[in-house]
Formats: sequence, structure tokens, C-alpha cells
Amino acid sequence: MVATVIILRKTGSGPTTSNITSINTRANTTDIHSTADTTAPIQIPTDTSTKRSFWVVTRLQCTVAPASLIDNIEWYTDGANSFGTGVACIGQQGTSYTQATGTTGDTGLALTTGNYTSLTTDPVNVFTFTSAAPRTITGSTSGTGEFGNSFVYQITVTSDASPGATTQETWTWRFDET
Amino acid sequence: MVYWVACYKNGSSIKQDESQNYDKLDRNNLEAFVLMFEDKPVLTIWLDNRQLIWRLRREIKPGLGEIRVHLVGWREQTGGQVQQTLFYIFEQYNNEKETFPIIHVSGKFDRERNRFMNEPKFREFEVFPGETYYINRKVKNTIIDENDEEKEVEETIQEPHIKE
Repeated sequence: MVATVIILRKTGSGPTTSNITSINTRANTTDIHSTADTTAPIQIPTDTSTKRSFWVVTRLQCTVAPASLIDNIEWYTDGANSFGTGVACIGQQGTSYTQATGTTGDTGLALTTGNYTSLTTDPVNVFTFTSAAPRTITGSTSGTGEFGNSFVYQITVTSDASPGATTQETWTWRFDET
Repeated sequence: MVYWVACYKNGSSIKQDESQNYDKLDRNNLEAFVLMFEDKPVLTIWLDNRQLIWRLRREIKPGLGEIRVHLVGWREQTGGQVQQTLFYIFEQYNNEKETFPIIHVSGKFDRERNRFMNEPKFREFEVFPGETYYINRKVKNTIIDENDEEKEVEETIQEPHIKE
């Protein structure tokens, strides 16, 4: 039987896991998954500073095990930032979960290896991860449960951004199964 | 859905998801590997003692769906050179109805040509001396959890090895 694999977003201190395989999730300034929340937007700075979303932690979970193995996990974008002027996204893989924090309704704590200590290296512009040059995600599984490293990302906003919801971006997970 | 049937020299066969998985096929007695669509063969690979390779490649885009591609083919070593023939069978859907798959044939792994044509992580039985393969091993790691407490978790790690 082909394995059942879902994409999780992890939030809160539990953490709480939300299945986002068939839906969108919003990166804003609260550590709660939602598809359309508008109560905790990322503020647009009025100076040269940067405002940030709370970081978003995503990971794969196997709910029906593969016959043998899932491996060769990769994560990538379409390579083009469609969020608009002044809005960027950084990200990196991490080996464990760290709860997002910051000032709700204003800005999140910066995603750095200092604040999210299990990141394998410094976060980079996620749009450098493409189908031709994806982020390799360490890990594999032969059973059920969460597997592989998490991919953690954060939206950043500068003063030249426009108010309102951005265009939606789609991230891709890819893996091999036997 | 595309699936495989492994056919042995003694006339017996095994369908994907039955008693044996891909890793446990008896490769010494494998005669053919057949990819099926709607219970009809769409591709038959006669192995002629060449090394079989198969993967189900899955790409998931949240909110948009999934693409599945079967990588199947053979590898052999002749004159010190590894040669391979690879088929990529793309499952196709028209609305929600599955239609006949599209098949690409290639001699090398080349993700620049197509994003599904990247190299897999080989198993030991798929490679020849000097090539890299991966062994999966379960390990117990200690992590610091969200409450700053030590917690033991079991993970599967892959270790690269060079085949001798």
C-alpha cells in the first residue's frame, strides 16, 4: 500500500499539529495556524527596521507506513517571490521544534540560529530553493509518525510593503517511496 | 493508479503491496518487472540479469495536490562502466479521473531536464563497486524539548557507504 503522508504545521507549546496538506496556512504575528486570520497581521515598519511573522514550523508525518522506506526528502519553491515589494521569506531546516514567539499583532522574533538553535545553518531566502536546487531535508522513515527534519520559515516585511494580504505562495515537498 | 508486478523465472509473480516489498524481491530469480495501469501492463522490463531499480516519487503541494511518478529501469556494469536505462511513468489525471500515464525514457539522472529525474538514494543491491549506497539505521537521540527538558526520540538515519 502506498504510504499516507501529510504535511503538518506545528504551533504552541504542546506543540499542536495542524494538517495543512490540503489547505493554506497563514504566516502572521501569532503562533496559531489559520487559513485567513486578520487579527494579527505583520505590521509594516515606518522606519528602516524589519517586521517579521512568527516563524512557521512544518514537517512531514506518515499516518500509513510505506511498504519499505521513504527517503530522499526535498523542499522547494517556484523560485519567484510573488509576495510583492517589501515582503520576503527566509527559511531553513531544523532538527527539532522551537515554539515561535514575538509580539502578537506586531512582529515575531527573528529566525536565526541563535533563536532557533536546531537550525542546521543560517536561514536564507527560500526562493533560492527551487526544483533544480532544492533544500535537502535530512531524514527517512519506515514507519508511522513525524519524520525528517522540519522546514522552518519566516516572512519579513520592510517599509516599502503594501497593506493587505499578499499573493499566496506554494511550497513543495518531494520524496521517494519504496 | 500505476503499480508493479514482479515476475520470477519459475512463473510465479508478486504484486506491489502483497507479501514482499521492493527491497525484499529475490533479484537472482527475477525475470521481469511489469508496470500496470488499470490492471493492464503498460511497460514490461525484461531484466536479463541486470539490476532493477524502482521508486515511487511523490511531490506534494499543500492545497494543490500531489504528483506521482514511478522511476523504474535497470542498471548494469559493462567494461567497467555503469550503464542504465530509466523510465519515468507520470500518473495523469483529468479532473479526478486517472488517464493513461505519460512515459519518459532516459539514460541518466538529470534534474535540470526534469525535476523528477534526480538521482535516488541507492540501496546496496542497486549499485556496483565504487558507487555510493545508503544504509538506514534506527537511532535514539536526546533532544531538548519545548519545556527545556531532555527527551529521547527514535529516528531513522541514512549512512552513506561505498560498495567494495
